[in-house]
Amino acid sequence: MICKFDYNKIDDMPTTTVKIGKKATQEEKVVNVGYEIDYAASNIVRKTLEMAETLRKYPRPARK
Amino acid sequence: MKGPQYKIHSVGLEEYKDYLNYVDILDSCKFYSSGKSGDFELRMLITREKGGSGFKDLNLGFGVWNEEIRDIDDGIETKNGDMQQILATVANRALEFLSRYPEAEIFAKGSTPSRTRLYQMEIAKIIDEVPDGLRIEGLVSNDDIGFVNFQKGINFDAFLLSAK
Repeated sequence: MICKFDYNKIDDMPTTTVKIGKKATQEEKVVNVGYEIDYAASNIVRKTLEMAETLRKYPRPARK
Repeated sequence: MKGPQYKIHSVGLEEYKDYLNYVDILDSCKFYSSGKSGDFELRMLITREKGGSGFKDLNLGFGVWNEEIRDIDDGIETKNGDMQQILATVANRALEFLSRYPEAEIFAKGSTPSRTRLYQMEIAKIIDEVPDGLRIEGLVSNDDIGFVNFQKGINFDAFLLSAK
């Protein structure tokens, strides 16, 4: 799973205040980030695209 | 293929609907590896580039299914001591596919050079028993040699399975 996160947009993103530390004495604002699966980076997709690239570079022998 | 194999279960394309934006899936199945390390769901897919046509540029991929990320993890070793059973299961499914689509050419490459080497050793064990109607070629990337008929003693970078 790939987390797509654009740090340039951090000021525009909604934030949540969370308490940190065992006694919750500190608070910090963090950006609410969404997670999504980057299907283009998946093994299924990547290997298929690599195969296509390989076969373009090394054409199959001519068949009789 | 000789030797024990796992029972195959079909998997519907709806399980991969998000991938269909990028690839065409022509065959999909799953089976379970059981052994000392536990039970693993393995999946095998035959795919091609999205929008491709015909059966010439097909990729065979398989590995442990990661339900969390809904992807095949082809880097995991099950360590169940059943590698030959897994490979026999995958090879048999590929042969079934070829019997349905004799014009198909199926490309296979390990996720790492050592895995490719492992596949090469397993192919070398059975190459003398391969039926006349079946063709196994290997890719030699060095010096841009390309695909040649599979021969023992040559290190290949990938394999191509097809019917003559």
